[in-house]
This record gives sequence, structure tokens and C-alpha cells, in this order.
Amino acid sequence: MIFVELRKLARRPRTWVSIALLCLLPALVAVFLAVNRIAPRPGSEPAFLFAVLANGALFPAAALAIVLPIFLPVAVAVVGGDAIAGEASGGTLRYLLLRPVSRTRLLVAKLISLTVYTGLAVLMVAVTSYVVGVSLFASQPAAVVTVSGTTLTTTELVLRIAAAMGYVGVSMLGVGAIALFLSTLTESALGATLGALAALIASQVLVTLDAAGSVRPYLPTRYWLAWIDLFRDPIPWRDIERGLALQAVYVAVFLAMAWANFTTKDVKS
Amino acid sequence: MTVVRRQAQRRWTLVGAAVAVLCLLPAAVAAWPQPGVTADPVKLRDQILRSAGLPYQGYADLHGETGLPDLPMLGEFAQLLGGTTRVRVWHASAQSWRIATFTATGETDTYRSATGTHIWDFERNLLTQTVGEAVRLPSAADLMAPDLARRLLREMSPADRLEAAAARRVAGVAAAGLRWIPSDPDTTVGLVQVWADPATGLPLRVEVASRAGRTAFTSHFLDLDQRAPSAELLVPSRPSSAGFSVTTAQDVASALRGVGATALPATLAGRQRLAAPAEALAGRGVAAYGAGVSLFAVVTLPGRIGSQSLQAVHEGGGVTVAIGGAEAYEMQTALVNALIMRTPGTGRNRRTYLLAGSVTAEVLRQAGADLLATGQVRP
Repeated sequence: MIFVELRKLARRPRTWVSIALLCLLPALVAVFLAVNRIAPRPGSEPAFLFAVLANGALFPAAALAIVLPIFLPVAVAVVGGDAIAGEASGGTLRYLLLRPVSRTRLLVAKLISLTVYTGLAVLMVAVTSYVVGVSLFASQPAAVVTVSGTTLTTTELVLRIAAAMGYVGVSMLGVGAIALFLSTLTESALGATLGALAALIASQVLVTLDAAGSVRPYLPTRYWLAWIDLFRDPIPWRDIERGLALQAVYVAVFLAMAWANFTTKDVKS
Repeated sequence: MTVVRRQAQRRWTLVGAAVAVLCLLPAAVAAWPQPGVTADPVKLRDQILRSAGLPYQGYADLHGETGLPDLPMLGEFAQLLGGTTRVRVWHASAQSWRIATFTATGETDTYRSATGTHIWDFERNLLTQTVGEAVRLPSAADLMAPDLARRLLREMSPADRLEAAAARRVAGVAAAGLRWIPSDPDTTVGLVQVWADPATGLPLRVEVASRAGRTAFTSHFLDLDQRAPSAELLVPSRPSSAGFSVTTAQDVASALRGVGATALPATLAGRQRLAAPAEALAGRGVAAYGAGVSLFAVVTLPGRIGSQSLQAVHEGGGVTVAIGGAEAYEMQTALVNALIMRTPGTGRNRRTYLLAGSVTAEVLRQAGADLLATGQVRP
């Protein structure tokens, strides 16, 4: 079942088009920076972007910061929202369930497919942005300065970017799980996607609100930017650990809700 | 009820129960009985005051709700008192420490050692060395719970009330608490609470509340290790691609001389000017007055910065006040009150003063009136 879902993911043009668009945005930003040589003001977001003119090897980190707030979660919400609702609206869900496979396994296969998509998207963004970064800007992979002012070796840089990719990928799973749950509630993939995005935007708004301080630690986007801590020295693990644990809770809760709804749902299409 | 519906009900009940447990978990942890740690408040205060040499390292939050306007010369101080600042500290001794202030996209590291102070600013890609003790606004290092608690508790007067506060767990330590209620009617500080490790006396959490009882500033550890940090963490590194500059305390004093060259009086609003290091700067337009937690600073602002600050306070909700013929605005927050005042006159005779501190607005107005009455004395 998992293999079937992965093959379906790989054969869909939409998968590759969405990943290509995700890669295109940082590349476009890099081209503008390279042509105009006008870096953003230091301290402004996206993180690290102001530093890439001096060292293109940092561009994968800047690219993650560019796609993280909106584009990556939108892509994940689209795939997650389409997982079950897309099959239902296309009339293929009934046929899927005719196979001797339990609904729980189908749900798990959809989640794994979504996880693979997220990982692939993050990997492609990092790889293409590295190529773009070292091509367009002065590049010194052995002289990348951490946020704390120490210098990283090439191996350390690669490890930290890999860890940041892993963290960003895991951060997307909470949104994916919400979209997957909503996808079991409706036959409209668009509705499920928009629902997940609404939850995401609500979380983003509340995270910045001091009055919502009591619920802030439990909001799905609270620790999204903790991947920047991977570029401090020594690495403060506190927020990273909390971010990973929080995403695990969101995935567990919304997957359980999706399971409770989907396994007893009357599937008509 | 059908079999399917019963199954659905069972599954939703199971998921609902699991979600309810997860949601209630933080509340249950918060409501968990606090450790029965008690300490005599006087002994705890003495223990805290003796804790200056203790090493520690950890992760802390500084949270202020004073809502100071973003004045041109306040820099990070306004953010420290009006927002949440994440810091990480490595403290070997009073002469050897490092504190990192995190922002969303960067970090500022302050290193203190025998050779002076180094500040690494990632966003400016610049390492700055300051030789000597420069005049500056309070920074995150000054507001860390251990330093802040000791500085505040040293200011206690015999008339103040000192009580035990309920114990609480701070950064995994069962901390003993004390509560200090200042008796001075002219201060904005209504209550100071400090929690410290009863074994070592290291302050772990400080809460400062206004007269209205609202906690306006909190400094507390989230993670703590009471062992000395590794020496290599306390040495600033200078990346080859970064800039480097050296400044001395004298440079700062010279800059201030250019600012106003105005001597400030020995007393304002009935309060004495504080002694060194502020004494040395009084002739250059900077001084602090008062005692205990009733303190205020007076800074003479140079022309353009003075005008910008006056405008910022005015546009930031500053209320116009009448002080002689001066143009004056005041801002009142829970803990810090500020008054900015431009004296009458034209050109070089005109001065802009900023008065700010943990005193009531009436005290600041009186100080402003005294400044006008005494005039400016050329050093």
C-alpha cells in the first residue's frame, strides 16, 4: 500500500510542479540579489538572506527561511488536503477500499507519502539553492560564520544544513496531519487545504500576540523558527527538542482523529 | 444504534480521552504541589547577596510589560523592558562571563574578560572591543536574575517589609522565595519577589511588580547548570570576514562631552546625585539621582537626537505637561516613567533633557522644574 501511494505521488505531475515552484522562488530571489547587489537590511527576515552576498554557501539556509513561512506549508497542505478528499471527489476512494487493505493502513500510507513529499521538497529546495548560491555569489563553504561568530568547517556546515532540513521537514508534518484529518471529513480537497491553512494562519497570528502567551507554547508554528538555533554555537537544543515533540503530538492527535473518523466513515464515492 | 455507529462512538471516545489527557497535562503539571522549601527571608537575602562568585550557565527569559516608546537612544533597553528576550548565559565569575541575546534572525554576544568587553553582533558582522567601563544603558546581562536580584536587594532600607514567598520550581530547582515591599511612596516599584536555590543562594527568578500589583518585569531561568562553563566558550572568536573595532570608555565620555557639556545640579527634586561612576559624568550632562528603588536618570540629549526623541515621545502617546516655559511630554508605564523636556530659548542655549526612572511622575516633574530653575551651569 505504501509503495502504491509513493508511486502515485511520483507519477503525479503536480508533485514535481509544486516542488519546482518551491525551488524557483529562492532562485528568483538569488537572481535579483545577484543582479542588483542590494541585500536586505541585517536583522530583517528571511533569516540569513542579508549574509548570502558575502557567502553563497549560506543560501540553502536562507532558502529554507524564504519558503518556510508560506510556500512550503501551502504545498504540504495541498498534498495533505488532497490525500483522501481528492480520492473521494475523483470517485476512486471506493475502489481503493475494495482492496484487501484496512483503512488504517491506507491512512498511514497517505501520511508516509505526505512525509516523503515534504522531505523531497525540503531536499530539493536546499540542493538547488546551494547550486544557485555558489553559482551566483562569492562562495566560501569553509568560512561560514555561525550566528554566534564562530566559523564552521565544511563538514559542520553540511551537517547543520542537513539537520535544519530535517527540522523544517518535521515542522511541516503538523500542518500535513491537520490537512489529512480535514481531508477525511470532506470530499472537497480545496476545503481541506483551506481549513489547514486557516489553522496555520490562526497559529501564526496568535504566536505574535502577547495576550495569547498562555497558549503560545502549544501552537503548531511556535517553534518553526527554532531551526535557526542550529546555526548558533554551541547549539541550544531546548526549542528544537520542544519543536520536535510538539510536532509529534500534533501528528499523533490529528492522525488519531483522522483514524477515528475515516475507519467508520460511510464512503459513497 | 448500528454496529458501525457504536464503533465510531468508541473510537471517538478513545481519541477524545487521549486528547483531553494531552490538553490537561500542562495544567496538571502547573497545579502539581510545589516543593515544601522554606527559608528565613533575611537569611535567604544574605545568602543571595553572598552568591556573586557562583558560576552558572543556562537559558533564560526576560519579559517586560512596561511599554516604553522606541526612543532613538534607548536601543535594546526599550525591547528588554517591553517584550520577551531570550538569552543564554555562561558565567564563570563576575570578571569572566558571556551572554548571548537571541533574536529571530541573529544574535548579540557580550563577552566580559580581564581585557575588557567584546561584543559580537551577527547582524552587523562586527566584533567590538570596549576597554574600560563605558557608560551605557542596562543590558540583558544586568537584568539576569542573579545580578538583578543582588542589585535590587542591596537597596533595601530598614523600613521596607521582607517576607517569605511560597516556594516554586524554577529551571528544575525547588527554589525558596522572598518578597520585598519597598516603603518609599515615591517609587513605582510596589513589590519585588526573588526565588533562589536554597542550597547555594543563586537567584533563579525575579519578579518586579508595580504599585498596582501588576508584574511588570520578570527575569527567570528556563534551564540551569550550576557548574562553571568551559573556558573556550568565554573567548570571543573573530571571523576573518567580520569587521573589528576598538572603543574605550574615554571615547564614550568624549562623545558625551560633545552632547551637551552641561553640568547637572547636585540635587534634583530633593534627591541627591549618585556618586561614581555617574559623578564623573555629571559635568557632561548625565547623572542619576535618588536612593533605593527610587532612582531616576537625567540625560542631556544633543540637538538632533533631542528633537527626534521629543518627537518620538510626543507621537508615541506622550502627554503634554506644563513645566515653566519648556516644551515637555511625559510617558507613564507600570514601572518606568519618563519625561522629556526642551528648555525655552534658541540655538545653543536650548537644551533637551530626558528624565526617566522608577519614580512617580510627580517626582520627575519636580526634577524638571528644578532643572529649569537652576539653569544650566557650564562646567
